[in-house]
Amino acid sequence: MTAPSPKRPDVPGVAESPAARPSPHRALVTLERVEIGYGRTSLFQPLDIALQEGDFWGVVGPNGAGKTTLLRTLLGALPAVKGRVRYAEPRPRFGYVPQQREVAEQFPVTVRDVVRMGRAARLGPLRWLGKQDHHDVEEAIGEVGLAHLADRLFGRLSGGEKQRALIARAIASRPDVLVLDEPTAATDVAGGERIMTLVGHLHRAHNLTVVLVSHDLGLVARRARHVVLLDKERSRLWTGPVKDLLAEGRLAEAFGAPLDLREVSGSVVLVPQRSPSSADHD
Amino acid sequence: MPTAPPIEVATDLIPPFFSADAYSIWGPAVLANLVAAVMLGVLGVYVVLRRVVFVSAALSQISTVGVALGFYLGAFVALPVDGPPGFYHTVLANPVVLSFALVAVGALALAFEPRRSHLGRDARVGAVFVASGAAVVLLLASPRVVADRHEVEALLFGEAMAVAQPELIALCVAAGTILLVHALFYKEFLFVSLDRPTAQATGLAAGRWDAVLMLTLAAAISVATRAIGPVAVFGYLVLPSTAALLVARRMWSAFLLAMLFGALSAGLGYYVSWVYDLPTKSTGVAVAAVLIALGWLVRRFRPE
Repeated sequence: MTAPSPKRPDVPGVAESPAARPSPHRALVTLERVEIGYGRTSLFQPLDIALQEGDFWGVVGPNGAGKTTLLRTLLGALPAVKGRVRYAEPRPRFGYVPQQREVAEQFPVTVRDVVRMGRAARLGPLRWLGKQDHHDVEEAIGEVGLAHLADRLFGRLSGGEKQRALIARAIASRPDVLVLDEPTAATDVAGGERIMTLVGHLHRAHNLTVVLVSHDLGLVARRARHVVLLDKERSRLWTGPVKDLLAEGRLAEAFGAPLDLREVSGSVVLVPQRSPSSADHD
Repeated sequence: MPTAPPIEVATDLIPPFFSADAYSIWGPAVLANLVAAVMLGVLGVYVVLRRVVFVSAALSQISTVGVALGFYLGAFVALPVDGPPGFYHTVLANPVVLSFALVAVGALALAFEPRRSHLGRDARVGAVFVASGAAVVLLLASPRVVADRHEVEALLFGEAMAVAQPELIALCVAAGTILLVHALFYKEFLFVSLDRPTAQATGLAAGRWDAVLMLTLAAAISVATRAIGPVAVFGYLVLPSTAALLVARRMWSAFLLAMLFGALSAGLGYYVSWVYDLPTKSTGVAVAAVLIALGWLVRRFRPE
């Protein structure tokens, strides 16, 4: 796999100017007193977070908690009910990896076709892929380890391979922020771990800011540095460093089940609470 | 018991298909069917892949309401005896304009699944389909359209053989424009059809592109319905593209095969119906159905 420089020029033959290059640790996206929801209905209390360059954020919560709503707000695809979403200048580019069921599998498109869409999306209407675009597409396919399947129909891939193809599409657009919505939902445990290893590699190799949405708490706890924990039942959310947040019994509150995260042999794992006070949760 | 004598058909009155006399009869109609089939074949690829086949059936039905409404409203104001038709007849009571307006609203309302809806899309599509059918019957029951009823019924339900020159020209212009729009904005249409959330998340105005795609469908259905009728429109939208998608391994080949199969269904269907004196549209549909069966066989037995 290739490991290109963290920030590459967008335009063929034109070097990225130092002024345009983001400074280290600048906030790419800032949510100021943002209330997410639909129409005028807020799902949660106001949220304040800043996604710094190179951060790894996790968004966790039970199914239907509003994780995807938060993502859509972050991406600017859904207006905030209240508050303000601010983007750095120049506006950061997002690479989005959707839930696999969102992608129509019946289309006769190959892996290469799918990844090309990542480039096509940023070109705009009436502009077609050039030499540099094709080069970046091939590089992205190679980076996720699908070069041998580039001409295979997307619908014929396994769950893990599809996820890799979607990640390739996201990174083909040379994003500043990689947003993944339940990337391991359609994979088995080993496949999920391989996907997350790949995400970890991309995070480091490209200095990508990553936002990972998952209901898999252990997975988020192992990878993310910061977390947003959503509790839709009580319209509450918490944000902070992953270890502070997930180890204070808040999981039990948010998920309505006696859960906690513990460090076992250097790895964070999800365990049921055993304290007598947790008995009333059963 | 004596048997009835066989009925003799005066086949010598029907000129051979490839003759000047016959061409003057079938030429414009076959051309209209070919153009419509090619245009609808391309759009049908999206219709089948986006799984909105029955939306397109409802839209074809809605377009008949527009056509019938045009005839109904047209009967209220007499055409000027000398001079061109006025604004009322060219726009307000124009069957194609009314059909496009109704189909456009229907396409935008039915093609998308609202985030929160009490009814599933299938229920809404079914309701619109049935209500449109009833509306057409009620409009045609009006004594005002008595004079045009035969023409309208032939167009909407029967075997309209002739296609008028203005309808053929309108169809050719619409087909050229729609195919050009689809060629120019292929990547946008494909992206919003394949993966709308990502298209939206990466900055593409997904709602707008979806609407443009649906409006091209509405325009194609309304113009084609006026020229060749709703049965053929629905058939050309669904059958050639289904056959193409059984065989195609890429999007570009799906589009090309859908156009080819559409043209084959229209041309061969018309020829067979002429030679064997069969109902034209049903024959065209039968040819397309045979193509689907052949497509299935190719898919079933070809090596991966």
